Amino acid sequence: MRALIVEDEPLLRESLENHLEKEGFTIDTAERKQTAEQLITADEYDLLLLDLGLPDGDGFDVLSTLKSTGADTATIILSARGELEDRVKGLEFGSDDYLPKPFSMLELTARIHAVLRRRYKIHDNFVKAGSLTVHLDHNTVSLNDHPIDLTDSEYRILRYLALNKNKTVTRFALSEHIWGDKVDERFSLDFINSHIKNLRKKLSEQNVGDVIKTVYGIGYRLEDS
Amino acid sequence: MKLRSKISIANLIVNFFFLVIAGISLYLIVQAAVFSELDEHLENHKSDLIERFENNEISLQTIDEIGSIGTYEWIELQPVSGSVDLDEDEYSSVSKSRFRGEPAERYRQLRSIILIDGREYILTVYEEIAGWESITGSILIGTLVLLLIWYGVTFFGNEIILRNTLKPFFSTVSKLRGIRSENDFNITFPTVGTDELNELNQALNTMLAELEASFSRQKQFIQNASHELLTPLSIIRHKTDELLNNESLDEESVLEISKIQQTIIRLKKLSNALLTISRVENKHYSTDGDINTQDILTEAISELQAFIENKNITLEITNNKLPVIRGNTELFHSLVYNILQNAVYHTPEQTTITIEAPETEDLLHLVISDSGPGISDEETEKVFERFERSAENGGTGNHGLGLAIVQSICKLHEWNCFFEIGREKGAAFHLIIPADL
Repeated sequence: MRALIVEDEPLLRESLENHLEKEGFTIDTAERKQTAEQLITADEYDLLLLDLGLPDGDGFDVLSTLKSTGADTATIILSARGELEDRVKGLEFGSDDYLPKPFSMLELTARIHAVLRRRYKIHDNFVKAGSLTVHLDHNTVSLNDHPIDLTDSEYRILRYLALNKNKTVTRFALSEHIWGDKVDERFSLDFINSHIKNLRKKLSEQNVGDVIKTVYGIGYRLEDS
Repeated sequence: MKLRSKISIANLIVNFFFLVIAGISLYLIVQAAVFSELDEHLENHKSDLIERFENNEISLQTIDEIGSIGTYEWIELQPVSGSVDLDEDEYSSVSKSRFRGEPAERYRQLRSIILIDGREYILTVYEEIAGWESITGSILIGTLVLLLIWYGVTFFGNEIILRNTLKPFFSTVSKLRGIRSENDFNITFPTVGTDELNELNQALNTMLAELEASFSRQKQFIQNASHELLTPLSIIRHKTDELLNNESLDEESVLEISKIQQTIIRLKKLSNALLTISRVENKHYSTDGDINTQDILTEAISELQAFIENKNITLEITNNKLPVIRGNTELFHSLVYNILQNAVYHTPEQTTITIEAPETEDLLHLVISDSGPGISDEETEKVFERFERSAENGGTGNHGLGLAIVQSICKLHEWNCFFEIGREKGAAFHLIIPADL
């Protein structure tokens, strides 16, 4: 999954970055409104953490830009401005949550999971596909309560498919959400193919049914087999 | 040839002709003056002689004996025998010896026919030229020496005057020569004392200002255009996303929509890359931060690690710890990432990519070489140009802007970067950051 952190305070930005990295996000950062707006129109993000007071403008502008692109990125506003007015305005501008500074990372994590669940319309912190369970909150996959050993990339692919269960995920989108936009599609697509191959092999070794369906020419889809 | 030398040589040639013409005319004028003076003397002698004959102060015999009378230098009288072809006074210069056995000398002579006691005689009066000639010579030599001195003085004088009056011109030329890229258009040529040079400088100022403005308009346009394109492209993309999961569409339609989406994503990447280049060119990035190049290199390698492993590529890193340099960290990362990604793409499976930092006097010399098909000499020039791709990967969806981004980053920081044909095979990218930056 991809996250964009818009925060001009370097120390906070760094700790948010480290924290989200542990949560398995691919991260881009911006310290200015202009950079944030470019990134948000150019790329696809699942999560946006937005500081309102930016050196070159108001964070609300970033929200309007995001809205104008039609993206359904889950957004959490992080702000030292705790006023009710700002909270209401933020929610009206389409943000999913509002977290006043200072906040604890634990609370942020919980809220991120909550907004992502809402975005992907799932109710729990896990997604089941057949006998397979993908845990969204502690980066594991299990089969009948027995964890399956997957590499980081494999877990990220599976998690993204799980979040979009029963929907077709294009190989492009998959590549973008796992490695970000920087990777050249010249080899990222082959790379997705080889990872899916490995993933299927591991799952079939564990006798998980064929939960990853190939949608010919387009991408993949996770289903109850 | 230098302008100053050209003007000096032209001056020398003109002066030389002047000198020759002045010398010849002076010689002719002096000679004419001397002869006219001598001729007047001769004429006087003649009249004097005739007068004396008429007054019987002198006889033919005396003249025959001594050949001269009083102050007369030398006269000869010969009776006319037969017909003589002499109508009037005839002046000429001759070489003659007066007494037998003496060497010949130069004389001016006047021949005329006079009547003495009813008989016609040819009278020849001589006047020596030698004395006058030495005077003529002295005058000539003196004048020529003066002219030569003048010649020298004008030559060196010209040199100095030219050097000084042309100084602003040479400074303009050297400034113009300093223009290497569109980043150098912001120089101004000063107002100078010489009208023409002033006009030149003002014209150049106007031209450079126009060029700079037009470059910046162009860059600004690219930036605005690519920025404006991104939003509608995002909208189309999200719409296609929705369509892709529309259950009522058949497989074929979904496939077509997915193709549309792929094209849109490419277009977005293209716009985004153009936007990045124009933002770099428009100096939207500050370059006065500290870059820990070692960290960035390590970070870029780890970001590409999955792809490196996927192709079983061996990374040979032989550099010492890289220095901290001045510049923009984000852009340096983008540069290294693009180059490494390019190397990973071009290197075949199970081969090697080497990263070296040879010892140099420069602050940093980084070489990243791949084992791919390499590039030709011709391509090393073109490889950084926008939309330039090697023939080998022409068919892929790559937008061909990765290396253009690299180049714009190098230009912004005034770093030197280029591709070379690799030592064994493949291509080697060099990044040289001079120590004096």
